[in-house]
Amino acid sequence: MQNPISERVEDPARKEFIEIFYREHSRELWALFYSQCSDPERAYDAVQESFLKFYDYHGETIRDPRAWLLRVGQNWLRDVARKKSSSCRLMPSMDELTAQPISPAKALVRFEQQTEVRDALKELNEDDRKVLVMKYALDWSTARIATAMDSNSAAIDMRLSRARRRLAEILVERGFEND
Amino acid sequence: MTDASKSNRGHRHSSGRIPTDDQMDTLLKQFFRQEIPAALPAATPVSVSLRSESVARPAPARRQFALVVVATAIAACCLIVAGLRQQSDVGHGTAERQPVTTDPNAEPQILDRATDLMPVSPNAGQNSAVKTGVGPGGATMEEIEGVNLNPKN
Repeated sequence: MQNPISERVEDPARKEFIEIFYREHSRELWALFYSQCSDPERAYDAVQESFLKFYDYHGETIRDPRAWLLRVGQNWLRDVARKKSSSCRLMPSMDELTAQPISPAKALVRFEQQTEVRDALKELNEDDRKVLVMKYALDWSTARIATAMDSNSAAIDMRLSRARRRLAEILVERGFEND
Repeated sequence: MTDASKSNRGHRHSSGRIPTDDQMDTLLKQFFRQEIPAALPAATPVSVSLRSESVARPAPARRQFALVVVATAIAACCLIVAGLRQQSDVGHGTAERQPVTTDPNAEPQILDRATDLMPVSPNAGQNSAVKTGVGPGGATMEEIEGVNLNPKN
């Protein structure tokens, strides 16, 4: 897949390394950024920004690129949050609505449901949101989540169950009904 | 958004029935399927991500602690074994020790008593013990045992 930053690098070896790294880690980075901001577009922008900075970086050798990208993306998210504290959410464009095989009305309802779940996720604490994102966005096993969060499988299972329960309660409080 | 506008929506209700765990599981799967940007590459194989994780994440403190304990125990065992060996070497005099024969048909070796045994008084333990010197320095057992070990000032 072509990404917007692949054209900026002249060294072929470096370009190949970063493209492989992008394929392997961009999804995971997106999920981690998403668990912080609960905004899919902004999390995606954070991934792009961190990789752009990675391409343009010519300083000392980066020992752990994944951690470096994560830090750059988090800093970018923090800056954006400071600047755009009252950002408005975009409604789906006409293109998006007409491109889907369902009716525009149903697409709009689905969009609103997405927004409801997203807003409910924001009310969870960060660790609960993180385990849900790792489980459902990255499709990670409990053991792998446990390794990533420096915990054990039983504790992660418990946290997942509690997070789902809490999310369900928030959605009910908001009057949400899943079709 | 007001409560009135909320109540006008078709997909809302206020019955208060909490979805089951399975329903939430399905809901979250659907939600994240739509939430992930299509521009992102597909999920990577587990082996690749695990490898990168192992590089990025330091070993847990508990594992490090266990390794230190095991290493310390091994070092302590080595020291104890070395100490015991040294003691047995001093006690038996390794320089004059004969090699151990494992051949069952071998003839038993007769030690040269004049060189291998410690020089003692010929009548040791008897009242009539001769108190003349038996070693090269003329020392007897009585003389050795009679050494005064008072500390010097």
